[in-house]
Amino acid sequence: MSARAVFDRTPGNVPLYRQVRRAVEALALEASLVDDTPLPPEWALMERFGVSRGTLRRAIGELEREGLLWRRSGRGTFVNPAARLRQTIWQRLRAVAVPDSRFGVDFSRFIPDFEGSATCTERIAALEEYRSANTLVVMPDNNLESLRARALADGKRLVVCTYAMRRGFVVLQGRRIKAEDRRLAATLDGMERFARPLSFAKLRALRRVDLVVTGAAAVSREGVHFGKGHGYLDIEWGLLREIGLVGDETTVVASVHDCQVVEERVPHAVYDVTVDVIVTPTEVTRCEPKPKPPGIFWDRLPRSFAATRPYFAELEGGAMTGT
Amino acid sequence: MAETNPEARADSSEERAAIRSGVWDRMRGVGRPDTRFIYDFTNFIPDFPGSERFPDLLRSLPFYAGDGPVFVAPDNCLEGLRAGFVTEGRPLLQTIAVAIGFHYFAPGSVPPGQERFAGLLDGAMALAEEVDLDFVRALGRLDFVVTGACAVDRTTGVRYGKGHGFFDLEWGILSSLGVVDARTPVVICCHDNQIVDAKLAPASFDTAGDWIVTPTQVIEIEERQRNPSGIDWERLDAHYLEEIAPLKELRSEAVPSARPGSGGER
Repeated sequence: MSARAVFDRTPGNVPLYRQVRRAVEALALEASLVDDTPLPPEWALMERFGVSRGTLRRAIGELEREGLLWRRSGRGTFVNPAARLRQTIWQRLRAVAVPDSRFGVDFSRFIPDFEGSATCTERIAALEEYRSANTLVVMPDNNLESLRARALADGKRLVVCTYAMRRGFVVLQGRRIKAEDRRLAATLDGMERFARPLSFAKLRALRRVDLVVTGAAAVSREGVHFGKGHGYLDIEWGLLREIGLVGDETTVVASVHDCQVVEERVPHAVYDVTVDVIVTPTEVTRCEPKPKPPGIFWDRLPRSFAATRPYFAELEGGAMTGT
Repeated sequence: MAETNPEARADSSEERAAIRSGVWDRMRGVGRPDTRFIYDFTNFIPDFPGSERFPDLLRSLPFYAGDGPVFVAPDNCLEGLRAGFVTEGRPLLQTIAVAIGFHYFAPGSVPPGQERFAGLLDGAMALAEEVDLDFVRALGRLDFVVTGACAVDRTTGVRYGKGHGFFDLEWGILSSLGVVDARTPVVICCHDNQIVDAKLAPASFDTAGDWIVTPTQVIEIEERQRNPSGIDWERLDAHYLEEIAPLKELRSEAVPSARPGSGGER
């Protein structure tokens, strides 16, 4: 155990429990990515940090609520491996990421743009699957802004899901957007003015999607994708599959920074979308093809999901499958 | 700030919440969605029909003329106004996400044709210059300040924001830097539905405007309630000092022990 920590107790500076929280977080992220050891027990942490049980519990309580830690009664406090993976990646990303206009650097709320994303766009534009594509589905991730602008310049049809899937899908027609408006139309704010909403009927009428491009929080070398933790890519994929626009053969490209690629083997489940091509500023990796989710896993949807997304009512009405 | 009048009690947080909730009810169907927060008005100040009139309405105000710098809050109803200042070549200081600090449009810094983009928050992220507190201090006194609001009192000019206190913080930082003071005109741009009949009873950290501008009316506040100066560090929400970069910067200027790496374990 390292030397006893020293915290700043000056009134008006960062509160003690927040400093302890940061220290506990650092401890949680120290171990290797697949470690299963619990944190040191409460008494040991109190001793190490020189703080009361109340302060320690307040710090740990926040990290539990945020999903990094979880307590097994009688067995200790453990680190959630997926959360640990994300937090580790987010720490690396801080040095290269561009803040969001609303969320700043709170990467749990958005997928950030990063240094080198324009190079990722060049690499994607060189892929045969991109060159021959007419219709692309592109996630609303910030690092895909330059790709969206490029696809518009190349006259492609872009289907984009609105942020957090809150207002369904919209379409941007490359041929209908003037050159000077492309950069604007590629941003979320700009898209409000240029994109048109797509009902499920209109989506189905597109017949096929040629390519799917996504950002990520992290991606494993074998193509397992980690988003912010809400499962949006899986749900979007499920929707598109049920409508018949995509299948196992549809190429999924992930565009990430090199620091977001995880070398460890990470397990994936039948409901996880897997990625066929990983594009970073420095390289392109083609992954072993794997089966992709066959549709939406309805019991995995968060309970409030449909309630906060009025367009989902179309699903219940059978609009998705056209029945 | 000690109250000399024992009757002048500030609104409790429940009263504020009720006032805000009433305004947001009236803005339903009027306020335009935000790209991230959609209709969750507790997290953003919405745009609305009529906001396109703000540039002309502000031009009619007596203090408008000049080419000195102005500060405009990142509220959605001020998008057109910010684009207008960029077009006009008025030096524009603003925040985007308050956590990431101040941003600045120098006159002529935006390529022609991109002014509308610059007025949007995503556009400002792409086109504005990120600046530190020294830069803001060196700008000197701002000509005026413009902000949106949730609720506004038409008699006193007292405003409530979303509830996060961001404009109060922005004002607190700007006044600490000496670029705004009691003489700086403060304009509140809002929708008519946001002007409340009830009297808003401000707390020591609340700010008020000299002018209220809506799409249909311009109201001059005779005696603006005195705005606070500086930041009340002890009252500050626990997370803000860590998460809001310009606050952290300001604190480390005031208190060397608050500088990162000078005492805490990482």
